[in-house]
Amino acid sequence: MNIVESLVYMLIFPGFLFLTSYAFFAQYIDRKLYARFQKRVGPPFIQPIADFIKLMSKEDVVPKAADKRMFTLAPIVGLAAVITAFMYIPIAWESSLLPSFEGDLIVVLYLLTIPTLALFLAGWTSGNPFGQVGSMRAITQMISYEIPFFMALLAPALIVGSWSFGNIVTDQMNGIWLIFLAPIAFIVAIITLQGKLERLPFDIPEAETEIVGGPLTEYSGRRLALFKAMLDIEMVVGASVITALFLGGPHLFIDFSGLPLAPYLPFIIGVIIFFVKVLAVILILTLIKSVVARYRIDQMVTLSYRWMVSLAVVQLVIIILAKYMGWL
Amino acid sequence: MAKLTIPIGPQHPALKEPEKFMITVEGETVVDADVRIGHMHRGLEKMFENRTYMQLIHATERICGICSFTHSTNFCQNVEYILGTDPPPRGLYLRTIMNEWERIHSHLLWLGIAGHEMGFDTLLMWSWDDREEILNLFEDITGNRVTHAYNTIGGVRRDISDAQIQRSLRVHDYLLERMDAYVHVALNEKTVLKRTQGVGILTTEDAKRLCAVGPRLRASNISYDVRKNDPYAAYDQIPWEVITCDTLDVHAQLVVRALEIIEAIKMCKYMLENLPAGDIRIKVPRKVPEGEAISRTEAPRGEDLHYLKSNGTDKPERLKVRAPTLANILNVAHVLKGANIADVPMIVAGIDPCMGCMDRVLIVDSEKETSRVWDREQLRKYSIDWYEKEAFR
Amino acid sequence: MVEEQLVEQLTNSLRGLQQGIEAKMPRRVYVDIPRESLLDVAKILKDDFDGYHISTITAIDAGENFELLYHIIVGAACVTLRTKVPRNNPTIETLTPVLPGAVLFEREAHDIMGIIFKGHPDMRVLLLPDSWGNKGHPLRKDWVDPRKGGGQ
Repeated sequence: MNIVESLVYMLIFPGFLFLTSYAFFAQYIDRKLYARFQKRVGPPFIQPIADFIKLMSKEDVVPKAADKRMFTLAPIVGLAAVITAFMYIPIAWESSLLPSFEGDLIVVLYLLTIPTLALFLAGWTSGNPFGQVGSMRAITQMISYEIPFFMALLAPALIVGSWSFGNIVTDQMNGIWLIFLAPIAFIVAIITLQGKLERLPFDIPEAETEIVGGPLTEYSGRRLALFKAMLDIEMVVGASVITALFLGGPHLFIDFSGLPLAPYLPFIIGVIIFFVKVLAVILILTLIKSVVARYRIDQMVTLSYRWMVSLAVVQLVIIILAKYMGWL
Repeated sequence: MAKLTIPIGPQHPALKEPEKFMITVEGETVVDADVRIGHMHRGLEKMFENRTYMQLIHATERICGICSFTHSTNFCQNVEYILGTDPPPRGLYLRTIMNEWERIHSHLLWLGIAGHEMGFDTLLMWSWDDREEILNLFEDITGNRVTHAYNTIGGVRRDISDAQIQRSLRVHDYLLERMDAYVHVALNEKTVLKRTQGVGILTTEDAKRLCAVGPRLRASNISYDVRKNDPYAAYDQIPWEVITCDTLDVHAQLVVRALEIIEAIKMCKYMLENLPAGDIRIKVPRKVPEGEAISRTEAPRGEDLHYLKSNGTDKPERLKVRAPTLANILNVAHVLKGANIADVPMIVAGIDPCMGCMDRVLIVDSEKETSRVWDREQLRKYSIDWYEKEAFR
Repeated sequence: MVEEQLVEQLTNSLRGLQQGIEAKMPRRVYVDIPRESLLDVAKILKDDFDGYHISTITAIDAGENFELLYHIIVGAACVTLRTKVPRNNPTIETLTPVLPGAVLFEREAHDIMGIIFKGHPDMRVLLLPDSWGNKGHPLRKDWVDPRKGGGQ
């Protein structure tokens, strides 16, 4: 891979530019659906970008009590981590644009925890009591959802017997989508992803009626814009992970390779299929968000450990038994 | 764990009106709560002494934006008590209908706020959409959506036509249907139950001791309702039940309010169908003889008490207003101690606080207005200086 | 009727503590009491008549005296205890040991009319701004707006 190609990958497709645009589109879909569920009209198509530009041009205040370096660094590191995570997800046919390797699933999962840590540090160093309470909640919540989330994503890896996105997607192309083999893991993954993205019913760290804006209370202007973009991209990346692992990635039961098409067409069709599936996952997430109230942090921890972890364990046991019996 | 003092208010997303709670927390648990009210003083009680009775009908209506009608009802009743006049039955029925509509729209509003406080914005949007129906009815019949200017001493100011009655009845049927859905949500939705059950428990003894009023009192399993126990207007002529709940928590308030809406809709339907014929008001003199009277009504938030003392002129000697929120704020401060920080908004919102009502009494802080009267140039200079000093220190 | 019955019962049980009981309207009973017997009367109302609910305290500027009206709910009726405190010494015992619900109403009366409640647990400013200081008690008839030259 030469340097120009790498730069294109990183900055244009599927990197920064494409991902940000798609994240804004996903945010628009999310907000519009949420509004329609609530009998509202909802924002126009251009609204997310307009919001971003507006925030970028606004006054950027760093509170006196805050640690200035950490305050600036947190959104940048968080944003970089989610964009990097996206590079490893196979959005077209069997492999991502960066070469897939054994264990890239784990890399992505670890990169996806960084945004939460960035939020924690941002709130903790902002010197605001609401921010500090929000940070404590964010870290408590992280400890409780990460374990069931990881365990749920372990299920596809176990079935396929590989830690690589490429292998898991290829396996689904040749066989059956893993949502049918591991439905419980899919449900657990969706619910815990909701916690990871800090959306209802798990938007406890930034519950606005309780602690104003949580970790983001003191943020404004550019830094807030970056954080907001980070959260949107995190939603897309989270949904992409689920799509790749459970919904067959860019696969749609049709093999285009035999058709007399231009060599790049299957690639484009694959990308389109992939992102339509991502939208479907976001639709599920929005639906959950619009029909529930917010949990309390202690209830969230209980839910995670008592139900999500147990369900994930049950799923893993079923898979291991099936493997042992030779059904898979 | 370290203690942290968190200010909730005067400006805070959980409070729709200014009020300050200083909350000391250890981790997620509230160990101490202090309430500071008075951010909304408008000096109304002082003003009341300088207005004529006719003006006061409209002034009392502006004590509160939500329960405006109950305050003007109270005032008109007080004057009627002193004058010794009785409004005609049709006037009393219409007054009662308006009072109940106000209860419906206020409780629907609360339902939305409660949903918002627990992060259930969908409930907020849907219940406020249905609340619009009642506001449209108000507009249809009184001409205004919020401050209705409908009450007057000796009756009400506008009659209702048969076509309006038919329209209103259709809206009532629609709302009755919608309420089924809300009651279903209140009783069955898991996350709502998680956030409300066992939260903000006020025992029956504490409710009595701290003089709670309204739905908070009935949610503490005390069957007390001014409409039943001390009936006014036409409440003693229509069939209805007092709603109570014995689980004592925020969920009990949710249930009480939801069922009260249904009860109110049924009352309104009964009244609209059995509206007596005749006049809607009687003429009263401008001057009120010397005397005093106490009027109590059941506002949507609880018992609302007015005391009026007249001195024979066309202006009152003293008009005292006790809005329900002032009576309820005491039990909020009590219940907050030991609560989870995430439950603070639910507990505060539970009594349906209405700061405008409560803080009605006095003068706005005048310091800034008097000692710093600046023209624009001075203000600009001051702000530049301030920023140079503070921001670029 | 409720109020006639109540007047009769109150006349019997408040013997010596009251200076006059009348029922002006249905369910409205007014009891005149000297300021020394306020606590005793409230206690009797609470223990014997189940009058646990105090609705509010109205303070009226009546020239030489301040009138204090304690509106206590007894069943369906509203019993108003009317007592007078002299203008030059506006003090009275606090009602909070008997009826804890009166705490905010007493603070309110203190703010606006300058009544001093002896033994009140927390006599901070309730309704006026914290910076009010000694600009007077605004609901007194002789109060003048500081902006118009009144107060200190």
